[in-house]
Amino acid sequence: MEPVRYDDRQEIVSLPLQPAAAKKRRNWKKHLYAALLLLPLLLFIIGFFVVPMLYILYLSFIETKGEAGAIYSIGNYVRFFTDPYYLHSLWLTIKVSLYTVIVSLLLGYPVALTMAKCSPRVRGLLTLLVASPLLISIVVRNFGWYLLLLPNGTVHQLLESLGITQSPPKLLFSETGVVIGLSNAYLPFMILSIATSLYNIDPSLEKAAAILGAGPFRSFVSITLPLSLPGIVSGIVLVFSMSMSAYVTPALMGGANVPMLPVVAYDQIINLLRWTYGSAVSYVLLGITLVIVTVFTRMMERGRYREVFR
Amino acid sequence: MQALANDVEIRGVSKRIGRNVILDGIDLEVKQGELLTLLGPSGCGKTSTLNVIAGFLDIDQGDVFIKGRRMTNVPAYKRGLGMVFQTYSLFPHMTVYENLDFGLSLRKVAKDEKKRRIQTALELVKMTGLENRYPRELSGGQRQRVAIARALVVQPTLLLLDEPLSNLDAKLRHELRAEIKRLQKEVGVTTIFVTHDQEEALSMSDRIVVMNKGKIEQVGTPTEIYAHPRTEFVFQFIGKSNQLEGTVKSLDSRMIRVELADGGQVLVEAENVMGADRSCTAGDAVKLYIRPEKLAIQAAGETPHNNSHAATIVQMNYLGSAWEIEVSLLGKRMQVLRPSVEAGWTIGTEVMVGWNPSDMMIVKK
Amino acid sequence: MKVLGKLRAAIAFLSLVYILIPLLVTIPASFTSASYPSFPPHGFSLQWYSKLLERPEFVEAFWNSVQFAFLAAFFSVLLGTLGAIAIAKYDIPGKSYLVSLLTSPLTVPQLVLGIALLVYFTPLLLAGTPTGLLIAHIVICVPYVVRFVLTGLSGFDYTLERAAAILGASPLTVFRRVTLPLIRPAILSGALFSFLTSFDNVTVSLFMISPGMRTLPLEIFSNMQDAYSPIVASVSSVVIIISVVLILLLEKIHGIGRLLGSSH
Repeated sequence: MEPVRYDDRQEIVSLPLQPAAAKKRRNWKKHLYAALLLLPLLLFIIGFFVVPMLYILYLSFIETKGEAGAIYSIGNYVRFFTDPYYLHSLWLTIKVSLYTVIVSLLLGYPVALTMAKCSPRVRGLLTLLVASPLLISIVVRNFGWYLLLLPNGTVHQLLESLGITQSPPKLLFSETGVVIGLSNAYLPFMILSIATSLYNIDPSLEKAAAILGAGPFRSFVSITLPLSLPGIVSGIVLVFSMSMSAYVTPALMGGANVPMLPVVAYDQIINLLRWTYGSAVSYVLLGITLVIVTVFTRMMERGRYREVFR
Repeated sequence: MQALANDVEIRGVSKRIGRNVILDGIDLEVKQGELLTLLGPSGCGKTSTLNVIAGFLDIDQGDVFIKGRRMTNVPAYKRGLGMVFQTYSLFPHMTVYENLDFGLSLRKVAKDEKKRRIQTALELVKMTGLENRYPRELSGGQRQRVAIARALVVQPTLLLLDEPLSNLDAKLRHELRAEIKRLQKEVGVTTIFVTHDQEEALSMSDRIVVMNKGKIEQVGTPTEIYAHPRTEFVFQFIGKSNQLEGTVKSLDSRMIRVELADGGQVLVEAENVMGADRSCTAGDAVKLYIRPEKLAIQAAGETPHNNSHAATIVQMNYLGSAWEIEVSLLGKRMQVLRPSVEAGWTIGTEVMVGWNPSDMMIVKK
Repeated sequence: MKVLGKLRAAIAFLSLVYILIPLLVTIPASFTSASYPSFPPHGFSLQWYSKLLERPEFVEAFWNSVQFAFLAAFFSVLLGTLGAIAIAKYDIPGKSYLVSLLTSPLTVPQLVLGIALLVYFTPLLLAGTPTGLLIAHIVICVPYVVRFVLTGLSGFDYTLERAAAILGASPLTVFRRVTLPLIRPAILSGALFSFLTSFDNVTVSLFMISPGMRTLPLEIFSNMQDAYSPIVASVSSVVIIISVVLILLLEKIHGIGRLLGSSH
């Protein structure tokens, strides 16, 4: 490398050029570091997530494994969509998920509103209260409902003592029970989703509406509600998706009476060892959920309030 | 009900939040058709006063009357006012037309009348043709015009503006300043404007209310506020100021003679005393204030005014439209504003600086 | 119109109670002196806690869950933090796609994931083994760590690292003394979150176990289905207490609202 050259006034006249080779060596080293850090994680995810998911997708297209080899077809899917038992199960799952969404929305919006209106300290406390149950195991939360809803449980005793009824109300092991369990589990997601979009509403918008003559109700309907639509939509999508694929809560709160699709799929795989069919059922579940969610989201994003989503 | 010349009357309004006194005994009258500015630094209570008038802030004591009607317990949405906010606050999910339509629909105005009023309002703010745009498609200046149109289209009793120009760049601010002033005169609506920018206040207002720490310092026309400030705060807040200190030597009904710290003497007009009681006596320690443009600077040997003193040029700053010359005078540094400098003036030049006694303000320490 | 405000407050209060009530009734119910679970409990007794200690399957399940949770948290933090640092620091092509890929396990239902791993692990001889279960837990937990650390690094000023390097620090030292302390809260939160996620897990674990492997939530699950007794209340209470302690710790370090706000 050439040395630095100075002229008579001791000012730098030229600097040695960086040889292209040295620069390349440095870049290569940088890429090595990046690769070393990233590769374990990347390989892990690909190896233990992406590949398994693709594998069962592949399996779902295998009808039977005969002696000659596997027969590839969409037979499993055909079987699913032509069997009334499975179609009923799918419909039941969609129905229960819709009910869960409605309950979560109706119960969740007021909580989100309250959180948006209160002081930061109270808001922090409410967020903690709302979010904590999400980190407590679902079986424990369902057990609490068992205490409350079983025959001779708290609700039954309460109704008896109030003289309303003698026989136990059919809450557990019914669709109602599953909706209670699922809405209870997923309500925090709906609340947090709506609350986030409420926090982002410019507070002077409500002031502007009031000055123009809008009372609290009108201001809510014309301003707050439309502007919270993104949060509502993402909350609905979240709760719906999770309800569609929930296993533990429907199994515990519904049992054999409420054969939701995940419960059916579990049965197929674990008890009946029908892996290829079970794989197909899984992808049907994923596919239907995705289709419904996409249609819904598109509808909302193109509808009357599409500006809100920009 | 007698006809009132005051659209707004505020009597003895006070408000506390926790231990902070937000407003302390505010008395104010706003005349019909005038553009009144509430001016002061942040935290002085100007926005709070506006919010009290708008109905967004409850008061602990006092009364607010709008057009003779008592406003206690009247919520904001029933007051029939118009307001423009610092953050535009256009409804983002509605077009310009729908934004303007909002208030009119609430008042159940007939469809044709609505259309007419909206068109008129848009013409007024020079935003015709943009009815179907959404706020995010408009520039900052355009949004503010729409906000003003939206406030005016409902023909409000009062127009309230809460620092509407603070979010705009300097050029836009100047442009819109003139627009708002023109609009206000054209429409004739009583307007209350809040700002911390004294240039804005001086150029736009019919009257200015200078506020500080929840109290009113002075109410007056822009000239009164600038040339005849009644308190030290008002003098220092508006425009630049130079300060001297001294003791009152003697006074009569017309003039006060002050002896400065290092022996020089100055004359000040007696009516230029600032402060609560606006008077002083011999022996009082006082502070003297004068604006840079009121100081006359001449070459050494000439006597520009009654109060002339020898000074030395310490710094010369060229501002483009004028020169800001810092001089050392009587032991203190003072700023002088002069359109030009004489040839040969440089740091160290000896000069004479003088002023008119009527231009100096005096206040007890 | 004030009526509407009161109505909103009332519904909000009821909803909060609704969310918390299953947890609130479980703990008192565990102190019942009767032989069947009920709320309110009959009498007061600690029998169901002492009986818990006498039941080897619960004790074993508890320790298993704790161990799996520790290991899952450890590996998730290790893999996730290094990966997140690489993504945040270096100019990797297709960065956003990469992040989506690495956090995609969050978007797939645990049911499907469980099926996929069971089927996949069988020819690999991992099905029904502790290793397989651990891998499954790591798959679920690591996306959270990646998210948290990426967020923690998003405001990071890389000139700090360059300043340290100019002063003579080696890359390892730079990492240890400049980068690491700044992302410590994110790593701790990721560790705690992973621990809880693994400790709580039911659905995926159901597909990964073989007879003889026990985790605490799965014990609770099977007891609820065929051995409904107050002992389920006491073991559930234990889970609640442990979870609450860790949640409060998490709240102190990072603030739960911020964590969940950014993960969905």
